[in-house]
Amino acid sequence: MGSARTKGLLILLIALIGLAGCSSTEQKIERLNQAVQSWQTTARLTEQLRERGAVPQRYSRQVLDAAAREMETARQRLQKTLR
Amino acid sequence: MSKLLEIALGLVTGIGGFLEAGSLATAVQAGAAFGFQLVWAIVLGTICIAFLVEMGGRLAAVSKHTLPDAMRERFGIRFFTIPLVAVTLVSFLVLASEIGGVSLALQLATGIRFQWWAPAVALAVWLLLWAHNFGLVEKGASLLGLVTVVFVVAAFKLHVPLPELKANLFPSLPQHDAAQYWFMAVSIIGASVSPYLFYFYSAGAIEDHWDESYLGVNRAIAGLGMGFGGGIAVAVLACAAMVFHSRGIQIDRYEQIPLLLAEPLGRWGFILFVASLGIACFGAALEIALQIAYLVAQGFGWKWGENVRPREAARFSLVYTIAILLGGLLILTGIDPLRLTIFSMALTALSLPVTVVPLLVLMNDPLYLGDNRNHWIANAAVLFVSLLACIVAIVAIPLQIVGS
Repeated sequence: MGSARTKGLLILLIALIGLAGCSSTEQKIERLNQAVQSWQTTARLTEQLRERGAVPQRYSRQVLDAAAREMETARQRLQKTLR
Repeated sequence: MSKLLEIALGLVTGIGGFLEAGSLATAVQAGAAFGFQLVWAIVLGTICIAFLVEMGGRLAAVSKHTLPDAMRERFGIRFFTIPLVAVTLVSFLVLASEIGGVSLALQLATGIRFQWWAPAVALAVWLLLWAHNFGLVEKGASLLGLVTVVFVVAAFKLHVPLPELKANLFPSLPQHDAAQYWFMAVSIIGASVSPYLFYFYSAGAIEDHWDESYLGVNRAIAGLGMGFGGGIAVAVLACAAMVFHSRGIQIDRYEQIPLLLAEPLGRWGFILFVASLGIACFGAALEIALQIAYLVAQGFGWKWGENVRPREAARFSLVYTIAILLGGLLILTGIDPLRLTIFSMALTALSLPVTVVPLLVLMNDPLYLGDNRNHWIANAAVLFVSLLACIVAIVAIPLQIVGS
């Protein structure tokens, strides 16, 4: 009885993981788009704050570098997804 | 008067010590991704940790046993190995996250990559533990940790809508990204209910020679200290909702997080964020390294104590030395501290039943607690949150890994 229940739970878990793994191409593209937009907004906000003197130049450079790296990664993933 | 002072110091410890890499990162990510919707997870975690901290203090004051000591005695060394391994592993990952948090604060301030700071941070943590006593470590770190109150100031400055905050005090279903929502919920609960908090607190009660006359002090510290600490975590989430969620910014890296305070408070906001991150994580790293050493030394019956000279408690000192060294090395590899932190918190939630259920058994044992045994409400609250977090973690962790 106990082992049947465990088996059932395991099958449910595997099915859930499978469902998550099979997210459609549209969903993946949507997620990558969101990531790119998020980094664009981050970069814009950082620049605005730097101009106001709210953050130092050294910090804004770190954020802009990170944004460039993350957007490049998203671009590569997007290409891979579309292939 | 001295009891009032104890309560005041305990409150400072609770407020200043609550926020660390885990609670900060999870609250910011949750606020950015889901607005105010996950406030309930902080509330649930705070209630649970308040109960657990109170239990740890009560056990120490009444039975004069630390938690690991009582667990080994009550369940035997074989069973004790399970919580020992689980708590040590989870605490080690959290320690590495905290070293990563301090290193990142230094990166934000200097521009030098965080991994290069890891050896210096690890050395500073180790030196403080080696050279100073428990009181300085605990109270000094917590006093400096009061800088985290700046998040509450920022929340006021941002005019956080209180009705919306109140409306999310109870769980609700996600409107999008269900897997990420539940993963964030368990990470928040894991960050709030870190076992190191109540293990460390219990060891502190023994080091401070608490007896039954301290039960009222213990209740006040656990309830008010954790309550205020949870309030700061809610303020962090609210700031993230106002600054990031409203603009569609999702948090993928630590570098984005200082904008949280720079936007409402200007340059001082940026400086205070870096200070908060550095101090809170440094204080937590000290406590976690000590807690790992307490756990192992108390569990195996070795001589222990931060007030004891390292050469008089050599094995105890060796344990925190190794933990700090390995934690520093993990960050030196360049592992992403934000991902490490969030993942450690989810694992903490997953391991909760292993750490919490034996404590509940002890807290209901008349041999240890006499008439001061647990009320059913405390049992039910802690058991409910721990099991809920564990079950959700079992489903949410694989979903999040596959989904991302």
